Parts: sequence; C-alpha cells; structure tokens
Amino acid sequence: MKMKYPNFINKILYLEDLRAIKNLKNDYALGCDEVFCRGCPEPLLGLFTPDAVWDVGRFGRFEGVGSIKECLEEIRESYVYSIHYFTNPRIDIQGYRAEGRWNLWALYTDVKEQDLILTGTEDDNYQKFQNKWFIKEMRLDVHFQAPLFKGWHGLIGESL
Amino acid sequence: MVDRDVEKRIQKLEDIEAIKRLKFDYAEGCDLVANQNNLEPLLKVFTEDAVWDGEAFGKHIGKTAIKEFLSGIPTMLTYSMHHFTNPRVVVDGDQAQGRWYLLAFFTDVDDNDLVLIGIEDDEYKKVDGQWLISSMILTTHSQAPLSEGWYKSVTEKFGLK
Repeated sequence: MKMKYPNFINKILYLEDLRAIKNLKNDYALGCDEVFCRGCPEPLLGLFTPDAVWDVGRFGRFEGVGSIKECLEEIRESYVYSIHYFTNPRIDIQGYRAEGRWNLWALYTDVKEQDLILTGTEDDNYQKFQNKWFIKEMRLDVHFQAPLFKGWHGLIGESL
Repeated sequence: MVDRDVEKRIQKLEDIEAIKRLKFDYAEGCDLVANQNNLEPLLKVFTEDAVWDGEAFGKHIGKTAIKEFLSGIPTMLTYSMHHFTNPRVVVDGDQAQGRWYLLAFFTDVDDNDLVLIGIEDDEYKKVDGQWLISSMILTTHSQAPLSEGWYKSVTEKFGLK
C-alpha cells in the first residue's frame, strides 16, 4: 500500500498530524486552566518536551520542564480563575517538526477579585516523539492584559 | 481499491469535521431560538432520546422535553450569540465525544446584557449516516451581567477555600 500510494498516505498523515496538533493546543488550554483554577500543573507539564522553552512575554521566560513547573506552582498566588480561548490556527508541518501560530483571548480573575481580559498571539514549535506531538517552544506575545472595567486603550503591547 | 485501514483513517477525519460542523449548527440553532423564535433548526441536531443538561437552565430528556424548554427561551432572552472554540473531539465508530469552550453573549427581556462562560461536554451518535447530539452537559463558570464581570461566580467555584 505504502509503495503504491505514497502521496495518498502522506496526505492522510498530514491531516492526522494537523488534528493531533490542534488537539495538543486544546489540551494546552485545558492544562493552563487547571493551573489557574485548581493549582494543578501536571496535565500541562505532560504536554512539553523535557527541554521545552515557555516564553510568556512580560511574565517571564522558562527553560526546561523543571523551571516551567516552578513558575506554574506560583500562579495560584496571584490568580483564582482562567479560561483560554484559542482561535485562528496557522499550522505548518515538516515531518517530525511543526510550527503553529494562534490567536488567544483569555479571561482571568485575580486574587483581588479583579476580572481581566488578555489578548495576544502564541507562536509554537512542536516535535513528534514516539508518534505523539509535544510542545517544544511557545512564545506568547501579549497585546494587552486589561481590567474588564477599564478597557484596553493605552495598554497595547510594545511589539505592536 | 483502498485498503480497510486507510479507509478507516479517512472516515475518522471526516467524522471529526462533520461533528465540528454539527456543533456550529447547534450554536446557530441556539441563536435562532432567541433571535427569531425559530426552534426547528436546533431540534434537528438532536437524537430523539437526547439529553440537554443546561445546569441552571434545567435538565431536559428527549426531544419533546427539549422543545418545550426551548419554546420558553424567547420569553427570557431577546438576543444570543454562542461562540464555541477549542474543540476536542474523539470518535469511536458510530459514537463520539466532544468538549468545547463556550463564550456566549445574551440580552434578556429586561435589557440586561449577559456574558456566559463555560464548557460543554457532548456525546454524539451517528444515525443513518448523520451525526447527531445525544447528550450535552453545560458546566457554567459564570453567567452574569456584563456590568458585574465574572469574579463572583468563579471565586465561589475556584477560589481558595
């Protein structure tokens, strides 16, 4: 089969990889929300390669799962709630590596009971290992994180 | 002749796309109920024995009960728009499960603008070649007037005890 229809199989594999990477990002969103809502970092940490880089802009840059874990364990000191909505996936796959760019809007409540809205983009690198996709690098570019009742004018990020 | 394994892989990809389309039809159906008092498009997405569990909106079992509930929506809401994102769909033959993030905007009959934040867990069944919703469970994180924000509800649900 593989000898007879190599391009055909590759097309299916591409669609399956695309699906798997989108699911990885949805699991990433759920994992983030487990951290913010319940202080539980394990589901999120399982999505990274051991040497992953997690660059969350103004919130810091963390290399390696151990370092990412330390950051995640501190989040509940500042926040009680989050929900991360990811849209507009732009994914390019090259064999066992892939790149993704997503739009993000997220809603938070901090420990001072202040509601916040964040928008931005996330640029990801993914790596396939033993038939499973992982996040190797993620870079968040925050456009704004604004209190709900103040709006975002005057808070647009320097990158823009 | 395409071999059986390849056919199954293509079928699964097509099923996932069909289920995503079903959910977007569900969203549009929800909005047509509030915006145009039109129940029929929404009712088409359910199996006859479907369960619609809307938490504060009640649990309704079977298409007849769902229809009865929906017919009361226009007396509560004058506007709705449902945005579903982050689809997580798992297909197993003629059955499937899905988890979606939801952000919805409503206006009620007293002119209050409302924001609903939550997650929907669905079950789907393929009936005569067509995917339908057999169960929907809404987990509401917050439903509150825009002017109040969501902190009251989420602090109660997720805040440090």
